[in-house]
Order: sequence, then C-alpha cells, then structure tokens
Amino acid sequence: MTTVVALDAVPRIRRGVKCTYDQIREAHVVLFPEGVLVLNETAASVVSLCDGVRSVGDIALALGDLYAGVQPEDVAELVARLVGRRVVDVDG
Amino acid sequence: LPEVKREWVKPDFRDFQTPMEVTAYAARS
Repeated sequence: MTTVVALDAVPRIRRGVKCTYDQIREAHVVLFPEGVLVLNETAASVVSLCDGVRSVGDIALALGDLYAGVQPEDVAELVARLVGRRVVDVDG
Repeated sequence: LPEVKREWVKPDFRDFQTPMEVTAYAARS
C-alpha cells in the first residue's frame, strides 16, 4: 500500500526513533527498532524539520532558505516513505 | 554578499531493515 501525504500534513518523528550522525560513514542516519536508514543530505534536512509543528509545505518553504529549486512534492514523497517505514507519523 | 544556496537534490535514503542488513551495517562501523 502506498501512503500519500498532503502538503498540509504535519509530520513528527515517532517515539523510539533516533536521528544521529554516523561519523564513520559521514552520513546522517535514522535508528529505529526495525533497522537503520542512511539519509542523503536533503533527506536529513527534511527529517530535522519534522517537529510535529510544521506542515510538509512549511518544511519545503523553510528548506527554500538553504536550497535552490526545492520541490514540495519531493518532501511529501519522502515523508510518505518514512511513514511507510514507521519512522514518522503524520497528523492531518 | 548574496547567499549561495545549494542545489536541491531529491531526498532519498538507503534502508537496512532485515537482521542480515542491520548486521552488515553494524559490521562496517
């Protein structure tokens, strides 16, 4: 089943999930009971903003300060994949 | 000076979810 996340959905990191930086791989990782996700730079930026307050659209807007050409659909798609991995919950 | 923004790259991740994959991930630490 594919999860679809709207731009007004508000994502937050689930309890028991830890976001950290792996010094050896020089990559941001998400540690959760079922496994490990190794994030690229933009995915790490998205995850860092999943605070349970900002919507997907707000996150895309905030990332516009750091990156040129941010695609809100890319953010929504990533959040949907993270929901599928039970790393993130969404309200709305 | 104007701030230089980084180019947006589609966000992505690699997934280590099976016990074997997680073990392989940990072994490289």
